Amino acid sequence: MSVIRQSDPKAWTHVDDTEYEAYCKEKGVDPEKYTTMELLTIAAARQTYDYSFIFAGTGLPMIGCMMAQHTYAPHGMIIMEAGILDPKLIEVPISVSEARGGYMAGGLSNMADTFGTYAQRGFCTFGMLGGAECDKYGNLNSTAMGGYYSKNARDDGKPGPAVRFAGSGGANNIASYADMGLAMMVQEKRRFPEVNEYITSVTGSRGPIGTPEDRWHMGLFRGSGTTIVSDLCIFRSNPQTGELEMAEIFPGVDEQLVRDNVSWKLKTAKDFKPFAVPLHEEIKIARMVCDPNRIYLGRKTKRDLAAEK
Amino acid sequence: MAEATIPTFMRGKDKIMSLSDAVKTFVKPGTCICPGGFSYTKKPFALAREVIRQNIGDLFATMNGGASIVDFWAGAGLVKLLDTTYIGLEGIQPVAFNIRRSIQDGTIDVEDYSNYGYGLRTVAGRYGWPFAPLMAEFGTSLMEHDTFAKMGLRGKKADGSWIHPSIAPARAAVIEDPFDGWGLRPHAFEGGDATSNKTNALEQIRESTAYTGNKGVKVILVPPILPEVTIILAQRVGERGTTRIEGILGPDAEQAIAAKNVIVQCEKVVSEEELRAQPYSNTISMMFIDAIVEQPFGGFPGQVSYYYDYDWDFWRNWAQLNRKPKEEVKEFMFNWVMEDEWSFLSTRPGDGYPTITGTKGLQRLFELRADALYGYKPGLARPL
Amino acid sequence: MEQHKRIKARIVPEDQRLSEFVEPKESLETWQKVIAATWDMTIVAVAYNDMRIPLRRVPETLETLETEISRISDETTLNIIEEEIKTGIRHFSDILENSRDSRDRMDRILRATWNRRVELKS
Repeated sequence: MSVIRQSDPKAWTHVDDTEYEAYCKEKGVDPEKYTTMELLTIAAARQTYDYSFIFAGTGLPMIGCMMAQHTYAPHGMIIMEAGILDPKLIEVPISVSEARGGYMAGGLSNMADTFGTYAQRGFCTFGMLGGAECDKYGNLNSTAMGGYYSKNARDDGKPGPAVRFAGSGGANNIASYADMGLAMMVQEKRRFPEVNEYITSVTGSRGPIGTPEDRWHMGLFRGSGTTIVSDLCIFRSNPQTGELEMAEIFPGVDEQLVRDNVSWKLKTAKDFKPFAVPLHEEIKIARMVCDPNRIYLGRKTKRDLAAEK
Repeated sequence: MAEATIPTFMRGKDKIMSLSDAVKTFVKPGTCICPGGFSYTKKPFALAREVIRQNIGDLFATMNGGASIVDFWAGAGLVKLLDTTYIGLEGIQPVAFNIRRSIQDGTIDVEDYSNYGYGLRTVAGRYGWPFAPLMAEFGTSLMEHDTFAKMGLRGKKADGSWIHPSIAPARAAVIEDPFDGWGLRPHAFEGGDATSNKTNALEQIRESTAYTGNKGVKVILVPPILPEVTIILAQRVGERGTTRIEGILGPDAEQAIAAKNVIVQCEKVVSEEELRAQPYSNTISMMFIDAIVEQPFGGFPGQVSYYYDYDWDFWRNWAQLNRKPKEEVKEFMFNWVMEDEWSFLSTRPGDGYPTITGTKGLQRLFELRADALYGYKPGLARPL
Repeated sequence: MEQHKRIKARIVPEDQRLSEFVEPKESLETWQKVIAATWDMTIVAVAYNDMRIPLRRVPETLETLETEISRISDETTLNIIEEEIKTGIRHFSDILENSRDSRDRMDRILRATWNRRVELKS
C-alpha cells in the first residue's frame, strides 16, 4: 500500500507565533510543554496519512481527526456517522452530529447511509475510536462491566451491570469496516485486561490470527490490525499473531510503567522505536486551530492529577 | 364502489395541533416511542418536555442517535424499556447518568445494537422489509446477548399473537450468503474495485464456520423497527405535513417513516406550495405525518442547524445535575418543564446554571442564534 | 389547469410545420459562452425558486415587527432586534448588490443584441 504522508510542517495550517504566545499566556499553558491530551491528539494524527478516509467516532476522535486534517492528512476525508462526509473542520465538534462537524462537508446524509455508502461500500481506511476497555487482541468494550444484563434479564439477582457504559454507537461498525483500527484511550491496568468481559468493537484481529477466534473466521470481511494510542505508548497488533505489542513509547515514559498498566505479558514489537517528541508546530495547531477552548485538550487523566499533587 | 373516506394521514390542516393535544393523542403509558435527532442536534425537545409535563410513564423508548431526550425521561422516571445503540452524551458526558443509573439499579431494561445494525433496522422499517442484511457485529458480545429474549418478550403467545407487538421475535439471525459473497465487490472487477479500502478477506470468510457450523460467507439479518410513534424536529413543515429537514439528517427520515404515527415539531409551519416549489429538498412526504406542532426555539437546549446553537452552559451543568440523587433529579425534571412550552422558553434558558452573560429566557435564546452561513454560531464560547 | 390550457393554446399549426435544414453559422466558442452565462442564470433561478415564497413573506412579517417596535419596553429587546435586522441587512444587501450588478449587465446585453441585429441587417 503506498502511503502518502503530508509531513512538511510548512504546508500545515499556519499559526502566528505572536498570537500563539498571547494565547498561551491567556490560557496559562506553557508554549513549549505539551499535556497528556495534546500528546494523545498528536500521536493519533501521526498514525494517519494523506488521502486516507478517517471514520471518526465520538469523544477523543473528534479532536484526533481534526488534528489529522490540519496536519498529516489535509486531503484525507473525515466521515461522521450522523451523515457527514468530508467536512472542513474549523471548530471542534462535541458530537458526531453537530453543525460544526458538518461545515463545508462534501455531503450530508443519514445514519444508515453513512455506514452503508461509505463504510460497507469500501471507503474507510482508519476507524478512529475511543473506548473504556481494550484487551490483548484490540477488542474494545464500551458497553458494560460486571455482567451485561439489566435486572429482568439477569439470573444472579443483581439489579443490573456493575458499570454500564455508553454502548456501541457506531464504534462496532467503524471497527468492523475499517482497514485499520485506531483507538485513543487512557491507559490503566484495569482498562487493559487480557480478555474483555464484553466485546463491543473488534478493532484488531479479535483472537490469535489463523484460529477460529480471529475476526475473519467470525465473518468480518475487512480489517488488518489495529493501533491503540494510549497516554503512555502506542500499541500495534503483530501482523502474524494479532497480539498487541508495544510499538512506540512516549518521551520520558518508562517501559516498566507501560507493562505495569496492562494485564497481560506485553511483548515489544520488532520495529519498536521511541515516539518522536511532538513538534512545536504540532502543539500550536492542536491548541490554536483545533481546540482553543480546550474542550478536549484541557482534560486531565488520573495520572495527570496524581502528578500535580 | 364503497363510499370513499379520507384516510387520517391524508387529512389537511387539522394535523396542526397544540403541543399538549399532539402528545395526548399519540403518546400513552407504555407506548413504543422513537425520539428523533442526534445527541444535541434537532432533538424534538419541546415534545419530550410535554411528555414529562403529562407524566406519561412506562415508556418503551427506541432510537438511534444519542440519548439526550431519554436521559431527561429517565431522570423523570418515565422509561421502562430501551432498545437502542448508545446511551452517552458524547462530548458532554461519556455515559448519560440517569440512564446509566437506571440500568444499574434495575429500573430500565435495555437491548443493545450497533448504530449500523439499528440503522438497517430503520431502513427495513422504512421500506417495509422483513429484515435487512448486516456485515458488522460479527464476533462481538452484541450477538451473544438478547435482553428481550431473556425477559420473555420475544415470540408469540399461545393464541398466535405477538408477546410484545413492538418487539421482533428475534434480535438477529445469521444466514449463509446465498450469493457466496459476490456482492462484496473487489473480486468482481478485473484489477480490483475503485474503493479506498485495501482489505478484503472474502476468501477467508468463505472458510468461516462461525454461527451456523457450515463453511461460507455469513450475513446477519436484523428485523425492522416498528415504533408506535416517532417524534422528530424539522425546520419547516407544510400545512398538510410535507416536511423539510435542513442540515444533518441523522436517523430522522427512516425512524419516522418506519413508525405508525409521527409527530413533527417545527420552527415554522409554512404553505405546502413553499416546500413543493422545490420538491427534491423535502425529507418526508405528508402522508407519514400525523401531527404538526409549531414551536419556535422548541429544540432548546439542543441545536437546530441554521437557526440556533446548543446551550453549551446548560449541558455542562446538566452533566453535574444528573448525578444528583434520583429523587432530586426527578423533582427537578417536573419542576423544570413548567406548565407549558412558552412559559418554559420565557423562563428556563439561562436559569439555574452559570452563563457568561447572565441573560435568561428568550433573550438567552437569541444569544444562541446560529449564523445561517455556517449552520451554527461561530465562536460560541464553550469553556470546559 | 389554467396554465395547461395556455400551454395548449400556444401550439398553432405553424408551430408544428417542419422547416428546411439551416446551416449553423455561429462558432462553437460563441455557443459555449452563451451556455456558460445561461447556465449560471439557471443555477440562480433554481435556487430562487426555493426562496420565492419566503421572500414574498418577509415584507409582511417585517411590517408586523415594525408596528410592534413602539410597544417595546425593554432596551435589550431592541438590541436583539437591531442585531437580527443588521444580519438581515447584510444578507439582503449582498443579494441586492449582486443581483443589481447582474441585472445591469443583462440590460447592457439586451441593448448590445439589438445593436448587433441592426448591424447585421445593414
